[in-house]
Amino acid sequence: MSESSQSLVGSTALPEADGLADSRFLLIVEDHEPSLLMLSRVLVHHGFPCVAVKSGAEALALCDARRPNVVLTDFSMPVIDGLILARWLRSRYQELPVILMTANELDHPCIARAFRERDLAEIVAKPIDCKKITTCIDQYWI
Amino acid sequence: MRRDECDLSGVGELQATLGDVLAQFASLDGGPEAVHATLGEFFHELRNRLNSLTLSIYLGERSFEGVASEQFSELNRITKDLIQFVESFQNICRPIRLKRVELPLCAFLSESASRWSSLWQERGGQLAVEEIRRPVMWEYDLTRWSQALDDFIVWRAQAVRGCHAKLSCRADGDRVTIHWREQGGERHEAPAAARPVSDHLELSLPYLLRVARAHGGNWVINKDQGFRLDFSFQHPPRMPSEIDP
Repeated sequence: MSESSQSLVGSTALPEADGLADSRFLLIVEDHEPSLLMLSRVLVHHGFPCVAVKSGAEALALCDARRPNVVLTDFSMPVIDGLILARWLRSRYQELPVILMTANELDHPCIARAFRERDLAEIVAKPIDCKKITTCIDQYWI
Repeated sequence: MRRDECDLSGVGELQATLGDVLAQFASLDGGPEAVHATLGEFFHELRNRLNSLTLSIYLGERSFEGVASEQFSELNRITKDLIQFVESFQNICRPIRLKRVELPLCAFLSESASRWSSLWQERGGQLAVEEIRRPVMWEYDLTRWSQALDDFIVWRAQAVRGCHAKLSCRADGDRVTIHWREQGGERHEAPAAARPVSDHLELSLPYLLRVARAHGGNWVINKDQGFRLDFSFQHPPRMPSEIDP
């Protein structure tokens, strides 16, 4: 997986270059590389075209270039964490569902507030339950 | 992979020791939070690794399409045990934010009393739940108490066989007390091969103590003649007539 640029699972290209132009895709943002790789594979296996990035900054850059249909982001990441990313995305794309993955408690005050203020569509706990996460994404996969 | 291929002897003892240590921590102001702060980064990394492990097993299972399903089933169960254990450990150490609501004092007993009694009977013992008769209100977090007490009682039911136990509540003056008494019975030691790899219920006592602590409670544990646990809360209970409309 590329160190610095966005990567489509199985390749290192932008979505446009991989035949995803005009197609739906899921953006996964996760700084823990093994989790990112495995999660991408699981979701591709379930039929969700995925673009996987390792930081909030990469996610923002990608969204400027092409808007995903759903964003699945980790909470704890350096510099731009999942909540900052969610707030930024919601301020620009109000209809874009952002699902937060977290190893913290689900009723953490910051997370609860972001959910109340509708920055987050859903919150899921880590370790991820694969069946639950696919069902969850399905709800927003329009 | 079979259970008898893993040497699980000592795992239960290790968890019981950890439970005892955490129970000590639970009695110190700021003790669990200090552990949580110290181990926060470790827990984060641990959960990330468990996450990739869980996802890998899921992918592997789907790739094999029904082959080695027993092994995958066992692997899933072991992983689930491990995740529950980590979850329990973290629950003890995390700061507890209570959602206090004024409710009948025994509300957290009434829902589960018959289920607990049945569980106790299955183990050849008896559990009596004694609720106070007069209606007394108390301000507490029902969800936390119910969850903590439920895990504790299920753990005790698994730990001892043929035991007579009693759970009772009192409201005396300006304090509420909750008592747990065990009499007779013998400690149940399942063979290593039959034990869960990581029985998260072993940690139910320190979690219960944490919840009590968060409610401003004190406690005394005595294991000399059966397991005895007494909680005391200074938060005054109130009669329903004293409650503002």
